[in-house]
Amino acid sequence: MSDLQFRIRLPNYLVIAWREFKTIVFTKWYLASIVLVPLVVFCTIVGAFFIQFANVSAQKPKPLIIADRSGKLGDYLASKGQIYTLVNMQLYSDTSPKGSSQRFLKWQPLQNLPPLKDLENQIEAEKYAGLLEVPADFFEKSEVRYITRNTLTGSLPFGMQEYLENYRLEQEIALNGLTSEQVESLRSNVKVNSISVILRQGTKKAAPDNAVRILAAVCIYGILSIAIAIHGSKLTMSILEEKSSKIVEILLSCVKPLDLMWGKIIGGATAAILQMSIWGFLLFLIFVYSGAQVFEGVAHGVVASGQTYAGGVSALTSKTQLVKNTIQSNATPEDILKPKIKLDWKLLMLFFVFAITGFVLYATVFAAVGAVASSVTEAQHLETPLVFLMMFPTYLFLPMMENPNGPVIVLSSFFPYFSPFVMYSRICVDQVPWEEILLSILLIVLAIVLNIYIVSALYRAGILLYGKKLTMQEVFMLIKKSLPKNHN
Amino acid sequence: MIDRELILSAKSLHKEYSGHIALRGVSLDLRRGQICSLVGQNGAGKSTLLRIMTGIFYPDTGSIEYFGKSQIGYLPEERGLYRKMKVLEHLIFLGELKGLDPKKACAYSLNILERLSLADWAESEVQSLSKGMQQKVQIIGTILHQPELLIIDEPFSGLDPISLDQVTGLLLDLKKAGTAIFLATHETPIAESISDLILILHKGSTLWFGDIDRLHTAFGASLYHFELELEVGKANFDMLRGFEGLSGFKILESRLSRKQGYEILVCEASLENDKELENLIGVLLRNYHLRSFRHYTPVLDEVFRRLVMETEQNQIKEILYV
Repeated sequence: MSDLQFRIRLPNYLVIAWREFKTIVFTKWYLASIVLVPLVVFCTIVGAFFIQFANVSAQKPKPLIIADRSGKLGDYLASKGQIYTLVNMQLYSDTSPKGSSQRFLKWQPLQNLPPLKDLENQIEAEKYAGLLEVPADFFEKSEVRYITRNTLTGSLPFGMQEYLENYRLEQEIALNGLTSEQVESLRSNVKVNSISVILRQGTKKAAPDNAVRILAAVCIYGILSIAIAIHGSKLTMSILEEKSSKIVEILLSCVKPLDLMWGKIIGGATAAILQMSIWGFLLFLIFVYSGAQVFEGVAHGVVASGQTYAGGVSALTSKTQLVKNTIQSNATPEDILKPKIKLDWKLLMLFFVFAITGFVLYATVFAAVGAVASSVTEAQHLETPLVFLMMFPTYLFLPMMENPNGPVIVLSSFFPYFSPFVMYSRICVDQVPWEEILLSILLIVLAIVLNIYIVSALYRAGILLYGKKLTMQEVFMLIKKSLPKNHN
Repeated sequence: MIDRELILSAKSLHKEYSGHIALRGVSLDLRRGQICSLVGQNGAGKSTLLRIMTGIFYPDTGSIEYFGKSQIGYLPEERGLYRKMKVLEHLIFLGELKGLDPKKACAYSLNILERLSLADWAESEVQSLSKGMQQKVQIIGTILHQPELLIIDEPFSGLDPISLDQVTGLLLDLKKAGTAIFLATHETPIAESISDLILILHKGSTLWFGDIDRLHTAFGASLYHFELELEVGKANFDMLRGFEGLSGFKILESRLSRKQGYEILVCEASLENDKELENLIGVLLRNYHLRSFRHYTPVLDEVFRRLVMETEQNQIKEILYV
C-alpha cells in the first residue's frame, strides 16, 4: 500500500474512478498497447506498401513496343526518360534517337515493325506489355492508340502518359521559340501562394498549415475511434466482470448508481486520455524530428486512399493532385527541411473537448451494454450496432472535405454521436461560427447526461438480474420501475 | 414518544415482480444492539426484503425509515470480490466507499484480519483465497466502517466451525457496541443462539415477527414430553394409544430399551393447566413405568417447520404479528 500515505479521503465516484484507472493502467497489457497499437498501425501502412511493391516487383516487367510516327518521341525519351523506363522499351521510328540515354533505348526502323497480328498474339501471350502507336498527327489530335492484353486500368505503363503529355507540351513550346531548358526553368520557378478567403476573413492570425489542418481532422477519427474501440469495450467487460463476480450489489449498497457509473467512466476515460496523450506526444516528436514530409505524405495518402475507397478512381488523380498542390504550395524546400510548426490553440483545445466528450458519450453506451448484457457473447452482439454507429461518420469524411457546409454534413455535426468527428473536422477545414460549435458541444453534453441517467437506472435494476437475458421491453420496464418516484 | 433506540422501521412493505408477489405487507422495527434473524424458505422474499432495506430496490407500497447517522453495512447473498485485488487493498477500497479515511480503513482492516486469522493473507490476491476465507474478507468489508445497521444475508454459509465461532463472536461484539443486526440465514441453531428477534417469512408474508423468548412461550408453553418404558407386545400399549387425541397427546418416538423385552416411548402432550398435567401424570404412573417428564421448549427449526406446514395445509393467509 505504497500510495496510502499520500491518499486523502475522496468522493465515492473518485474512489471508484481511481480503482478503475489503476485496474486499466497498471497492467502489462496497457503498457504494451501504448507501443503495440502505433506499431500495428505503422506495420499495416508499411505492410500495404510492401504488398504493393512485392506484387509489382514479383513480375518481370514486360517491354513496351512503341511505334512512333510523330518523329521525335525517340529523341525526347532518350533525353528525358529514366533508365528503368528506357530499358523496357522497344522503339520503332524512322530516325535513330539522340540524347544522353540513347544507348538504353532499343531502337529499330519503323519498317521492321512486325505485323500487327503477330504483335497481338505476342501481347496476348504476355511477351509484351502492349503496343503504343503514336500517330503522325499526334500534336494536332493529341491521341495515341494503345493495344494491350487487359484494358481494365486503361493506363500506360512506365509513366508513358506523363512522358507523352510533356513531349507534346515541349514540342508546342519549342515551336514558339523556347528551348526545353527554358521550359524546365520556367516550370521550376513558379511558386503558388495560396490564400484562403474563408480563413483570411475576420482574423489576422496566420492560418495553420494545411497539412496540420488535414491531419487534425484525420486524428480525431483515428485516435478517438481507436480509444473508443479499446476502452469502451473494456468498460463493458469491467461491468460484466463486476456482475459475474457479484461485487456489484455490495458496491450499490454503499455507492449511488450514478456515482458508480461516473466513477467507472471517469476512470476509463482518464486511462484512455492518458494513452491518447502519449500517442499524441509520440506523433508530435515524430513531427518535430522527422520533418513535415512524413505528415504531408500521410495526409496525402489518407485522402487519396479515402478517395479510392469512395470509388472515384478517375477522380483520384485530380483529387490527390489537388491535395498535393494544397500542401506543397505553401512550402519552400527550406520549409520542408526545417518545418516551422504553427500550433493552432483553438484547434488543439477543441480537439480535446470533442475527443473527451465524444469518448464519454460512447462510454455511457458501452456501460449500458455492460449493464444489460448477461454474458460476454451477448455483450459482443450488443456492441455490433455501436461499432456501425461509430463507423458512420467516417463515410462523411470525404464529402465533408469537398463541401463542409453541405446539409447532411451540417446536420450530422449536431447529432451527438457524430458531432465529435464531423463538427471537429468541419472546424479543421472551414470557418465554423462559435455558436454552432457551442451548440454542438452542448448537445453532446445533454446526450451524456441523459445516457448516464438511463444507465444508472439500468445499473440499479438490470445489473442485479444475474445471468438473466433481458428483452428490450424488460429493459424499458426496468428503467421505468427503478427510477425513484414517490419513495422516501 | 420518540424511541431513541429505534434504528429502522419498515411499514407494510409490498413488492411485486412481473405478477409475482415477493413481499406482502411486511413490517418490522429494529433497535440498537438487537439482532434480528430472518428465516424463510428459498424464494420466501428474504433477499428482496434485504435489498429494500438497503435501498437498492424501492418497495411498490409501504415505507422504510432509518434513524441512524452512519451508513448501513450490507452483505448480500450474491456477493463477490475483485479477484485480482489484494485483500488489504480491497478492504481499504470498500472502507473508502463507506466513508472511511484510507489510513483508518487500513488500520481497522489489519485489526480484524488478525482477529479472523487472515493477517498473513493481507497482501495476497483475493483469487488465491479459499471460499471460506473470501467469505470472511467479505464480512470484514461489511463491518469495517462500524455501521449502526448491519444487514447480512447468509453470513455463516461455507464457514468451518472455528471460523463460525470467530464470525459469531464478531457479530456479538458489534451487538454489544450497539449495532443493530438483521441477518437472513438457514442456520437456525446459530440464529436462535444469538438473536433477540425472529422474523419468519413465507411466500412474502410474515408468519412471525417478535422476541425469541415470546416465540418459545407461544409455541412451547403448554408442551410436555414424557418418557415411558413398556413391555414390547403387551396389551397396555394399545391402552396408551387411547390417550391420543386427548390433550394433544402423541407418540413422537419409539426405541428399544436396554432392559430386554422393553421399549421406550417418547410422548408429547399439550396441557392447558397444572390440573391437566396432574391428572395425566397420575394415569401414567398408575399404568406404566414413567421414566421422566419435562416441560419442552421447541427449537426455532421446529417452530419454523410447524408454521410453514400449518400455513401450507390450512392455506392460512392471515399474518401473525406479535
